[in-house]
Amino acid sequence: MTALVVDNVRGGYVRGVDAIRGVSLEVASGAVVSLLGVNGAGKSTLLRLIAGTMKLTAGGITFGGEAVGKLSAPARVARGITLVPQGQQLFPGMTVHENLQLGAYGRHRQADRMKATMDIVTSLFPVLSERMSQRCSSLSGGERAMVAVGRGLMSDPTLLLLDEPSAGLAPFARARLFGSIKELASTKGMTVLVAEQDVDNALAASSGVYVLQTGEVAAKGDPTAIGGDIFGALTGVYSEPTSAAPPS
Amino acid sequence: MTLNFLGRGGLGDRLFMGIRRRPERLIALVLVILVVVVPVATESEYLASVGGIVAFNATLALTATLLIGYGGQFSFGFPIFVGTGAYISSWMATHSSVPLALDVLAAGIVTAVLGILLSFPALRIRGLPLGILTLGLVLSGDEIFSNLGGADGVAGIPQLYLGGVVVGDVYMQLFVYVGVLVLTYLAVSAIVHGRFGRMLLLMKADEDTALSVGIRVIRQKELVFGVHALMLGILGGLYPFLLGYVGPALFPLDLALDIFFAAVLGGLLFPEGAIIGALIFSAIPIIAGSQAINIEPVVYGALLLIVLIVLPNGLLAVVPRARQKRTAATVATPEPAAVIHEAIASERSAQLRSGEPILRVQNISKQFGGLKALRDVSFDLGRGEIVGLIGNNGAGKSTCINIVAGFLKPNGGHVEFKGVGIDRWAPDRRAKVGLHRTFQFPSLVEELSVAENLMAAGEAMHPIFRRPGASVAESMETILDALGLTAIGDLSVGEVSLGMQKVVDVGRSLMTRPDALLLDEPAAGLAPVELPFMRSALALARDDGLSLLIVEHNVAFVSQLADRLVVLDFGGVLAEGTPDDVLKRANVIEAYLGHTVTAVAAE
Amino acid sequence: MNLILPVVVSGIGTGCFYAFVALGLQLTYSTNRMLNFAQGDIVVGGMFLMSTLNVVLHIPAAIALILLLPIGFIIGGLFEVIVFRPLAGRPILVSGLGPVAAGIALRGLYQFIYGSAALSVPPSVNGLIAFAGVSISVQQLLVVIGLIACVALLYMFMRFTWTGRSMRAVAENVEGASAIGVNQSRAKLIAVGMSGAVSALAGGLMAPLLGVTFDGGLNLTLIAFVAAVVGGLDSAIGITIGGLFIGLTTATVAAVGLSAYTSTSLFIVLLLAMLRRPSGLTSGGSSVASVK
Repeated sequence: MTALVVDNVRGGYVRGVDAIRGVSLEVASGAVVSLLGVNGAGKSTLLRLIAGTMKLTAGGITFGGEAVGKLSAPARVARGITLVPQGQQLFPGMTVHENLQLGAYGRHRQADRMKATMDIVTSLFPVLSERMSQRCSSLSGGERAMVAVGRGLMSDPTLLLLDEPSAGLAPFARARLFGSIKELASTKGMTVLVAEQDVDNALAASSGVYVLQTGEVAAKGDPTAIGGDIFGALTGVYSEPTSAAPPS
Repeated sequence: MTLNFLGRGGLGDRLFMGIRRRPERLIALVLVILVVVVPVATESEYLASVGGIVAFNATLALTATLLIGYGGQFSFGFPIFVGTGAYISSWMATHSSVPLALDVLAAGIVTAVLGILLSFPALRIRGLPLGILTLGLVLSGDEIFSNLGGADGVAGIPQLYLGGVVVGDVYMQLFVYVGVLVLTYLAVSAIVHGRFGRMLLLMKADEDTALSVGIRVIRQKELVFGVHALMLGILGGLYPFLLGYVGPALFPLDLALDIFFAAVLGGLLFPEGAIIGALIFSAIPIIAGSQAINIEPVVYGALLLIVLIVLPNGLLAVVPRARQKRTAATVATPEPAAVIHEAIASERSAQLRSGEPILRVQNISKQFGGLKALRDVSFDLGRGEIVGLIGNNGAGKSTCINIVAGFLKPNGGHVEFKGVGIDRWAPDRRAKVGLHRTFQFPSLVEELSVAENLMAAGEAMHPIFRRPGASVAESMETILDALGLTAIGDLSVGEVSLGMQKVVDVGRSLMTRPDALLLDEPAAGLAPVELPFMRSALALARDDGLSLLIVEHNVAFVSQLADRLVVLDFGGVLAEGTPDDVLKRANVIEAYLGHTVTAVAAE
Repeated sequence: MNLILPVVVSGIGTGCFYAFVALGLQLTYSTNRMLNFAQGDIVVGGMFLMSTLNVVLHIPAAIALILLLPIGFIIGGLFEVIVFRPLAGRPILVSGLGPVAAGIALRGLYQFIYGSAALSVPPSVNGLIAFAGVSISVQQLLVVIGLIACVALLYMFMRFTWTGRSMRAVAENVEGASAIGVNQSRAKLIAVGMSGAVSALAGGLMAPLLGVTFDGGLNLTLIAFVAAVVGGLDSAIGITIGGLFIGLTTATVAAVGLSAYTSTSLFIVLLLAMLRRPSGLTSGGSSVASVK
């Protein structure tokens, strides 16, 4: 069953130009899919379009069979679509506990559910249990990255959108993060779409890949098939003929 | 009726230049005539005194247009400066035998000095925003004036004589007020419509850009503040002789608010707007109030709010006006194909001119807190060469370019330009010796046309008091033509897409005739159809003798242009060489795919 | 001691006064990033309403004060819809002039309804309290208590309710707030509504201590603004400290016989406060519940 269907969307209109120019993708329920691309390719914009914090100019988005393209961001969060934005966007003056708590704001506010998800977060990131009453402004980069992902998980999402979640994490922690994402997806049946620059880790956790280049899909497939063409797809520079055709 | 704008026309042309292009001039003229004629015709002393007040406010509002609209500086200080001028001239008049004219002049000069003294710290110290500083000053102005000049003000002020005639009755005073208004208008209009105004708009659009074309931003800001204070001082100096007295109650905060409303509602970028705004919005409460209509402030306040909401750029922005056309208006659609051929056909195996590299980056390192952004980075830019600086996110490309351009100081290492160490040089000084940069989001002046933006950049390279002459206009036409932008030359920048704005930005850099140009992601945000324009613009720049250092994420784009690529990774130079060579290397490919094992983590 | 205490007491009284007005400013600024230059006029509105409810309609003072809260909330809400929302995103000069225009309209409205003469309102509670040679009216004490109560309630609201926390989120990071599904317009509406309620209550409590005039608002706004700059717009505590500072300054200036230089001394305080605080109006991170 395909959970997420993005159908030829255009959007992210900034000063005369759409950052995303006709992208279609599909993510199966419970699958982890990577969205790759260099800076400026449009990964963040696409995730924001799916989350609803940016408006679509054309095309549709369907999730769980429901058309969500016209819904507001709060409405999408209520339906289980949660975005962990680039650069974390934490609430610096508030404590770790408050930040995590607020993750559940848009979706549910039930105490027992919150306790359950909080347990998941602390088992995923044990160091956070020691930092609960600390202000986020005093955390290290790596800890902030953990709070950001944790906040996203607190909403008990059915579709989790991650925008470069491993930025700021040390290499070992990155590998572990992606391992946990893969595990969570399979145990909770959570669908995950993750935008990343760290190609290797993302591929290790994913069952599908899309490569964006200047607002369009340059290549797609499953990780093993894409293989060595990724550099070409990312940069548009191909040293030998490939199966993934560059956009004209 | 169409008269040429650039390079032609004497004073007469400029004054009555195409009503179709500047319809606001006609409106303002009509209103001013009405202000004079109606009171005289109806023989109403009341209307004459109202007219005088309104003209006075209009004159003050003109200085607001200059300072806030063009200078981009927000100040509440208008009542203070007018008051200072008034007190000084009246004190001098009652305590000395200096002739009136000199009293007024002295008032102006002292006020100007006061203004500069005030702006000096405000413009340099971060915690002293001019707005709050002047707000506090105006609030205490009442007390300052009371305590220094007496709560009842200065009495016994001599009357004004003009050419032997005493300005006694209300009608004569009206003529004087209007006369002063017209003179101030001519002065302000001449300032803002000429190259100084263009430079101010450039500064207002983005200070960093202004610095990169060599404008000394802080100096110019002080100059504007001083000029506006001078005008206010002279106006204030004249004021007591017309009123017959001076007192603290004349200069309340409300006066500043009235001026803001007049300038903003009329249109902050039009001197005529100040006049029209003041005439409409000062007159309404005065006239209605005198008819004892008590509900009036409610309607007035609501009206102000509605105009603020509905007309974001003031009344005059919605008056239909004709386009300003340049002389050579060929409306052919641009032919990028032809232009590309030429550019790519030219020497791609760039024969580097003999001699030293124009730019040497040596062992640059930069740390932000615990994060090492750059580690021992070294590379050269040869004369006439295009070097592409690429690397994945966080590699340090932007930091590097900011250091070379002078916007960041490195923790270690040197930058040499044309053989001279420029490490301590500010951006504007680097610009003056020929090292320029563009920004990822160009800050063109939205209110000016594409052509005028190019003009402003060209003019900025010449000292302020010397006429740059026709050569700047000629360069502008040549560059527009070469870049294929002739068709959009007369469009205001706000109507042009981001991609084409970036091409215009490259053109703007070309106007300033640099020796080396640093480009921050020139291809970012361009639609596919716009990329050929950018590519040919950059190739033309290189053909014109410039050396280019291009930071880019779009590897395909830059590798078509560059003679060499320098690949950064985690703040260090990973590889250097021709595009064909570098992009095949395993370590470069791996860098783009991310690291699993040997990543250099943040210290 | 006998010389200082009256000055301190008077200063605190006046200071709480201005802090109360500044509290309204802070609520609007932290969530909406707008400076309401008509805040003082809303306070004056509360004063006039108190007069109508208490004097004309003979509603007991306690009930009248309670009624001021929802009425003030509605006034605040109207401000958000009519003034702030249409001007969102405009340059500061334009979005600052909007409330100024609204203030002009409000003052005209007050003058139209209530006339130009100063109104007097009887105290909600009569009586004086004397201690250590100083006497203060119970009304004045009520103002102080009212301020403390508002600050405390707001603190608890911002910390312990979901709505309050969501408002703090908007104040701290707009993009993060979007990501967790906060309805921004609703948050902003509530913030301005609350600021209106607080100001109306402030007016109701302060009315008996001053003569109520239709044009008193502008002055209140400006002094509150100075208090906000001095104390910092990031927290309610900061605002209160700022207000107290202003109050003590005016009281001290008056005590040493320099009341002719009151505004000037406030200007100097303003200058010193700005120099001490190089980051501008806030020190980063705006929230009523954050203790500085």
